[in-house]
Amino acid sequence: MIKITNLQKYYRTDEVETVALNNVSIHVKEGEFVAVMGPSGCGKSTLLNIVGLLDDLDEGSYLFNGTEVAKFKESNRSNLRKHNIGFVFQSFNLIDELTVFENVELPLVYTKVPAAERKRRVEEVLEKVQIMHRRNHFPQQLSGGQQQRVAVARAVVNNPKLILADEPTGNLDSNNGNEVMQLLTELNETGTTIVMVTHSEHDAKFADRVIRMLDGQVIMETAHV
Amino acid sequence: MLKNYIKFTFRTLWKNKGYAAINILGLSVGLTSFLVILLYLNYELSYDRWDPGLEKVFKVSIRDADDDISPNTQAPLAALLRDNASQIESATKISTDVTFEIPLSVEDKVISQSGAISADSLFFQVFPYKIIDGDPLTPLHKPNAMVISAAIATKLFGQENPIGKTIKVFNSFEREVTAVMEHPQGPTHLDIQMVYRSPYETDNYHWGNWSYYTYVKTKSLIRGEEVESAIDRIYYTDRLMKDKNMTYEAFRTSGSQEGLFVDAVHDIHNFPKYGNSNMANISILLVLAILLLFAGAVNFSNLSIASSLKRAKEVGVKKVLGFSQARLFWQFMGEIVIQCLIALGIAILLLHIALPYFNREFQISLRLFDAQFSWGLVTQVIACLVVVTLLSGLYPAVFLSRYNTTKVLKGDYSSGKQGATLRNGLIVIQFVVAAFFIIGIVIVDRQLNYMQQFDKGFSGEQVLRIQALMMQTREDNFEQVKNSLLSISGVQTVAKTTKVPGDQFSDTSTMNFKHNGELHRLGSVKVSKDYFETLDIKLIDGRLFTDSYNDQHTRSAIINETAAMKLGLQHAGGTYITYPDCDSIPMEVVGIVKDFNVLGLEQQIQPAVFTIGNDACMFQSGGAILVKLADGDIGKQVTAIENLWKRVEPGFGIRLSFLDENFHQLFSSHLRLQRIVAFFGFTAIAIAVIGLFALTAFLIGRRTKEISIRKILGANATDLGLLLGKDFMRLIAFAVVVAIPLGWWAADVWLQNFAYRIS
Repeated sequence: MIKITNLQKYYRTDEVETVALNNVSIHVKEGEFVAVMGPSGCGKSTLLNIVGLLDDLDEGSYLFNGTEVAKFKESNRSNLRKHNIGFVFQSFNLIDELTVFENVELPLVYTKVPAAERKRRVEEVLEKVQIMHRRNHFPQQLSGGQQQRVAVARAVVNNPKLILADEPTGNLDSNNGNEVMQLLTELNETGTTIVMVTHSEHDAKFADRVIRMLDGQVIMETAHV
Repeated sequence: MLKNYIKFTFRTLWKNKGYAAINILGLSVGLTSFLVILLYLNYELSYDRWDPGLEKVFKVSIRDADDDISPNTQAPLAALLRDNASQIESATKISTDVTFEIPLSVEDKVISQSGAISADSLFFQVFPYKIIDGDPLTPLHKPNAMVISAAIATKLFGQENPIGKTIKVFNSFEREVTAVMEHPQGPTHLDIQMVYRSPYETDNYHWGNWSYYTYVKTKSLIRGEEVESAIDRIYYTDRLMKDKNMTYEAFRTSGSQEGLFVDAVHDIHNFPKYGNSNMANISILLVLAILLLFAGAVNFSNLSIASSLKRAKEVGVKKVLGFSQARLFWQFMGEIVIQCLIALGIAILLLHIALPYFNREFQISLRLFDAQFSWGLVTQVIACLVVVTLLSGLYPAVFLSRYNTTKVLKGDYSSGKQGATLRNGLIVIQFVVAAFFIIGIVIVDRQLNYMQQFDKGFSGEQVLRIQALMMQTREDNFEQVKNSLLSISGVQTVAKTTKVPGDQFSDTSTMNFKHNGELHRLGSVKVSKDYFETLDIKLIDGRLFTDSYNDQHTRSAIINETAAMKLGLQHAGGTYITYPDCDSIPMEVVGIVKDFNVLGLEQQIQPAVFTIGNDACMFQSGGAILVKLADGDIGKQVTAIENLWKRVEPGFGIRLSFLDENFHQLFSSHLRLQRIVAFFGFTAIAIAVIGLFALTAFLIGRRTKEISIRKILGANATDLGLLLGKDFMRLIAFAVVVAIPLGWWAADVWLQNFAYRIS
């Protein structure tokens, strides 16, 4: 599903050029659950952003489902993103002014799904993450775990083929963290591909495969059996 | 420490160059327009304040039985009031056309000079002009006396002593210079350069002659109402009681408004009891300038907050390092003071550039640094700066210094929806002002178009207006001048009139005419035989003038439609009018002409009586010669006329203009208003747009996170534009809804100034 070859990414200021990712090649198959690990600043979040088409790559190739997307324009990326990719963040990134229901509904609004269909799908996914009873609450009225469940619901409501999770349990206690990991695992079992950046060895164990990074390079790949 | 603050401020400004530039420029524009209006207001309010003695001087006007008000009063009124009112120290009557240029000659030297008035001997007892040379006590005592300003003395006599010398006026009569006066320091409603005794004083002295302005000076400082009731009673007893047949008290309780009233001279320019004043326009402009300044300050405030989101971290770190909230507050206030000072500096620079244009436009001489009222102005500017700084800085400084340390250090800069209503309200106000101006621009534009296309009832096409400066040219030599002009190839007709269409200050003589035993006040216009043909004015009934004796000697009259209506006449011929006060021989109304517009579209067409010959009753001077040219080489015809004129009025340059252009000048004040409205309109729009930019920047700054999330979830640029735009669109729509009735109302008030207007 994802085939990145010889990826280079630089950050430039007036005087200095920093290499963020150096000659990175990864391959994620459809239905796989991959964890990316490494110390702060090793480039794992940058990699995730490139995979999610939120950031450009400077050199190399990126095939998404066999299509070269490295040189895609913003409108094409946006289109590809909204139909294929769901995001889960460490800090949940829910919109404070919208209710749980409206937050989850948002991706469907942008993919122009009719209102009745939207309602059905949002309710279905809220049931799935067991947060239906808080559908009319605002994010600040929920606990961290509940907020992350809403974020997961929002990520999957569009039935994306790929979910990108950036430290999904980073802001949660272990119970809530486990619940979220459980959810991701269930999603993976239904066929969704997941790429997750994490610091937690515990969370990484839920993945099929772990990619370890250091100083912008992939140093090791381990597969869990 | 202070040096550090200033260094830090400039560093911050430099870092945020874009924001800072918009911020400071926006405020500068608001400040500039405000300062212009402030200067203008100061100037207007200084009218007729040049001597404390003016506080005792009042102008007398009359309201007649029809409730018509006239600034002109009868010749003997001043004497009546002077002799009978115990409160009055002195009274004078003047006949003025201060904008009209008259020729003055001393031996071979000839100049044409505006600012001349004729007055009776008591003028200088009423007006406190300072006599700097000659007779300071009774300068106008001699019947041939003349007082001139120092400027004219230098023009005519150079370094010589002018006292006792004679000056020839209109090339017709001589006056002796008895004194030299100082031109007042401040602006005045009567811009006088010289005062002379009229040679027609005795001939024109009767109650039927309404051609004078009357001024009185009280013995002590008393209120206008007191003066008014005293002189009104005297006027009633002397002039009206016989006809009304009741006591003064009974007459006043009857509700009639007929009688005298006064205006204090320092109120005449700004707050006259009737007639136009600039004050309404200036007040509106002042309110709008304040709104613009206010809007500029608010934008400044919003932009400061928007850019300050970037500085939240600085606040957090400083607080951790032990800065108190108060200290941070003063630091931010200090930064804003510096920016406001820069804005003021730019505003003063802009003002310096703009003032010459403004002065030319308004024909005034505003100066930023004027010894007269500089301290007052400096105080006003400082007060304005303080208010602007507080308006601009208070909110951002509080907002910034209040940032929650732990939150901002974690990167959370949002602080809820506080102040949203205030900010939205301010944006609405800005757009109300902008929309108001846009409505103003449209309405003024439409009315001016309407005016330019209006059928004025005469044709000024290819009609030349020639200013005859010598009295003989218009009177005794007229026939000869006319024949000389007609001998030029292409000249079709030649006529003269005392009331030239389009002249801003034309003869406003009105006289009492008697018809069927009733008195009617009608305008009196002296013309020559071919006047109506020259202007292509349509005859409705009867005939036009001929060379007959009666026509040529004020024994026949032609009246306009409005006069016919006032006299109740359906047809010309066989009906007579007379001057009851000075001439018993009746004039036959031989023709009625279609109404035509000579005064512009502000005023209804006045009833007018046209006669030939300056024989009866009152001598009317002024006016011009009109020459109708044929199609063809106009340039050649004009050159021929110019050459001829060198023989007709040797020593005077010819003053000619086309009548159409002359009439067009009547629109000049409206065209000026159009430009002012457009200027303020574009300023208002610019400020409103900056305001919108500021608010957008502020909201985007606050909603960056939300915008990113939405983008990740698939929102494209249109979605985001709509998301951010819909709130503003709502605000703008609301502003337009508020502005429409306001603009409608203001337009209606403005259009009331026009007798002929768009609906």
